Amino acid sequence: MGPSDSFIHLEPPDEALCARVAERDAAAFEALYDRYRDRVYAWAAHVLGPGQAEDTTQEIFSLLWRRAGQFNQTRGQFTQWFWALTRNHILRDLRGVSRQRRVQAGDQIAGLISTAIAEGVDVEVAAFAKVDSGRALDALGRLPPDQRRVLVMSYFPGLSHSAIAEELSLPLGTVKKRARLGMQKLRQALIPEAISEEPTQQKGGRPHE
Amino acid sequence: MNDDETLENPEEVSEAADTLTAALAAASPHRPPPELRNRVIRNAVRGRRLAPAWRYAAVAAIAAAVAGIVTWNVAAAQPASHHANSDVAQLEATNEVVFDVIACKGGHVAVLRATQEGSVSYGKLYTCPTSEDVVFMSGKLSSPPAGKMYELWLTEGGVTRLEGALQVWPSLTGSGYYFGSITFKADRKNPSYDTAQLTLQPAGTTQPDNAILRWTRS
Repeated sequence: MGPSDSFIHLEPPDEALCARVAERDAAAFEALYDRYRDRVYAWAAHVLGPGQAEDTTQEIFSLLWRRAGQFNQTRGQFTQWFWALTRNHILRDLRGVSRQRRVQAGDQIAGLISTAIAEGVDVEVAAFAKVDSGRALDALGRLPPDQRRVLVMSYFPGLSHSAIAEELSLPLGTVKKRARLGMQKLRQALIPEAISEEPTQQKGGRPHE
Repeated sequence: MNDDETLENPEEVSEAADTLTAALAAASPHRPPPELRNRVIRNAVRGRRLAPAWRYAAVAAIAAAVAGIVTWNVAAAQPASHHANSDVAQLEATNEVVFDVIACKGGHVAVLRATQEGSVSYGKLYTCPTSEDVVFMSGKLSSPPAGKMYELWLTEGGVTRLEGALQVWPSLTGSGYYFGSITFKADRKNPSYDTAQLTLQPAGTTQPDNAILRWTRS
């Protein structure tokens, strides 16, 4: 992925669309659905099961419609707010699901992402997915697999660091360190200058910790 | 860092969220079925779970004053004259019809222009190839004088008929103009008209008179 398409500025911005949704603008709601449906659905399908993904996706976007007025642009970007809303809803549905199943889901997701990083995906399928997915895979590809795995397992199925440490038979401190380092590297990878200056410094070849 | 929290800093979580979710969508074989889109949008916009106060707000959502719509059943040839604000269920049903027709794929919009120079009034007639429902909305109307109504007349195959009277409401923008609308069912899907006129005349008139807006198929 070249530097020119590393970051995308969608028009109208998510924040503007959300403000319109708060004013009950159905067209703006459709636009946000089209932007984020694939991500919400995939997340729900992998951690809750494909059979529940449709209902969960519907519930999350219904929440968006109803709560759009609560989004405060001065407190952050729309995606921060929307992913927090999505995650809270999915983790609520995950209550009662065994840790083993959550670990399996996290491992499956980590494996899929690693495969996509290694083999690439057909990012030409959709214009939006092309830029956004390319950026994401590129950024995650800069992380050592162990750090990436911890981030994935903690984020999508909501596993605590303690649970991850137990499942991976690692000291808790190691898991915390991987999470912290992973976030630091991810943040660096998402800086446009870093990408443009180091376009080829990514997959493999770095110590894991 | 709290063991029960996945990441310490909320900002960090959000950074990871956008990247992780995009990567998962790219890597995952799971895609939402196309039909889910309509279901999600319908159910959300219709606001099944909204609290009463929100339901009224939602009614005003799709178009500025859709709340004024009266459903007109042409087949029965009897206007539904109750005020929509008194019946949330009716409003939601009408709201859904309006949304469906306006958003209809392959739909047609006829724009009615003012017949009098200087008038800023306009109207739009929406038809849909997959529905009998028809929606007409008109904006920047003057306040109707006592004893007169805004009426929609449509001509098809040389026959002109009254489709109904608009329910009009003061514009929510505070402009001083009025907004009017009506929905009705045609006798078939994707109805096609030759002429559409909006008149301002006394109720009960059998012919269109004093058209303030007009559209003619070119």
